[in-house]
Order: sequence, then C-alpha cells, then structure tokens
Amino acid sequence: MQTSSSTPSKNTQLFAGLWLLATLAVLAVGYRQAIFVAPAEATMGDVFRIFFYHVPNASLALVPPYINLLGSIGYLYWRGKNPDRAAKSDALAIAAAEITLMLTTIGLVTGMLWARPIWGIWWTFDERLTTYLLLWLLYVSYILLRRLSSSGQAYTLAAVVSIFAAVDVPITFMSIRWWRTQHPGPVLTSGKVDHSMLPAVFWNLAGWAMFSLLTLSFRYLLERRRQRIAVAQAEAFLTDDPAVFAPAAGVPLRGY
Amino acid sequence: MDIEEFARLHPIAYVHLAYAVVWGLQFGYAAWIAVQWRRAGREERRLKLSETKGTNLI
Repeated sequence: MQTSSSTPSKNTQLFAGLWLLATLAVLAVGYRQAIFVAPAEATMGDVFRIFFYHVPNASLALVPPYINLLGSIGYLYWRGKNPDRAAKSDALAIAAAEITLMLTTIGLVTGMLWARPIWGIWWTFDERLTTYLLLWLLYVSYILLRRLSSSGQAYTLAAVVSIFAAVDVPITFMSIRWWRTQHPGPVLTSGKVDHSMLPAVFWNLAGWAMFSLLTLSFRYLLERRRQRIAVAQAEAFLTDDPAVFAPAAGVPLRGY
Repeated sequence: MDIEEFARLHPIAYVHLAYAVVWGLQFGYAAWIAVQWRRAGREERRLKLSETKGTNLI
C-alpha cells in the first residue's frame, strides 16, 4: 500500500502559518474582551472572568471524542480490508484523543479554580462533574492502553474503549438538563448571560477552536510520520539491516 | 498572609491562574508536537524515506 509523503507541501505550510497568525489575533481579542472589556459580574465579581476561558475550552472538549470515535470505527472497519485507510483512521483517533484529554484537563482545572472562591469547595461529585471526570479518566485509559500495552491487540482494544468514551459525551452534555446539579445550568442557551459578556465568550470560543483544529491537524500528521518510520524500521528488521534498524534517541519504534 | 486570605483579597489571582493553565496546556502541547515533529523528521531523513517513495503501512 503506497502512501504519500508526510511532509506538508509549501502551500499547506503557508496556510498553516496564516491560520496560526489569525488564531493568535483572535485569541488576543478574546483575552482583551475577557479581562478589560467585559464587566465584572454582579455577585461573583472578577472571579467570573474564569467563565470566559472555562466555558469555551470545556465545551470544545465534547467535540473531539466524536472525531476519535469516527477514527476508531474506521480503524476497526478497515484494519482487515484497507491497511492504509486503517492507519489514517488510527492516526486521527489518537490525535483526537490527546486533544480531548488536554481540553478536559483544562475544563477540570479551571472549573475547580472557579468553584473554590464561589462555592467554597474545590470539587463535588454532582452529575456534571462526575461524568466529566469519567470522560477524562476514559481518555487517560485510552492513551495509557495504547502506550503501555504490549499486546498486539492494543490499538483494537483502545478503539473499543473510545466507543465507551463517546457514550459518556451526550450524558455529560445533558447532565445539567436532566438533573439538578451544583454545576450551573446551561447559561448561554438560556439567555442568562448579559449581552455585554457574550463577545468575550464567543471570541475565546472561536480562538481556542481554531487553535485546537491546528494542533489536531499537526498531531495527525505527526502520527502519520511516525507510522512511516515504524514501518521502515520493521521492514529493516525483517531484512536484518542493523544500520537502518537502530532508532534515533527519542523516537519510538512505533507510534502510540 | 496565607494563600486563602490572599485569594479573598485578590480574587483576580484565581482568574490569572486559570488563564495561565489554559495558555500553558494549549501551547505546551503544541510545543511538544513541534519537538516530536522535528525528531521524527530527523529519523525519517536518517532512514532515507524519500518524499515520493512511499512505503507499506501495517
């Protein structure tokens, strides 16, 4: 199965550079809106400004699990039929899983930093927080399983874990609608946020979405590059070519 | 003055800490990808995987 080069073309590199500049500009506007433009909230004061970073990142964390799910299903479907498509699906799955883990970590930490001064506690096991923590734990499990398992079935097992993880996403999303939680209810869609605060939310939502898309793309390309290296090393091993087989420091024998 | 009292007097400290976590994790992860990208690129060149040659996957 022939694959194309993992090195992006000049046009792709130019586009990525322009995308990064645009992202940084949007993030700068979002920061200015959040810190200097949006008014302090009537009862919570300045602590409410955490909301402008917490909500965009914690909400975005519920998107890449579906990309991970698609990649995992693609891998399970194509692994015996089309190895190249299976490898591409797997690369997409691990890229989305890592982005999910990073965004859920941000959601948990910024949420706790908001909860401490407002609720007086760092954490409570209400439905939203518990299902969100479960999502984080599932993706920790997914990544550790791929990284540490010596079984030849590790990628297949991880793909199955991702299906369970995706089931948790709609439960997390709906938890504040289905149950009375300590976590605030849906504030954006219920119109409870003053209009003067909305630009700060949406600029940051746009900025972090653009940044996450960029990191997702490059993580995917990195995994594809690692796959090419792993295959070349395996082929060198089979042909007993020690000069080629010895991996350079810091480069794993196979991607994870 | 302990950290709790400091935070009560300066609630914006929680905000700056939260923002630092977001920027740190997002850009830290991006930096990790960039480092791994360069390392993998060096290994790819060492293995002489040409840009047009292609290879078998799996």
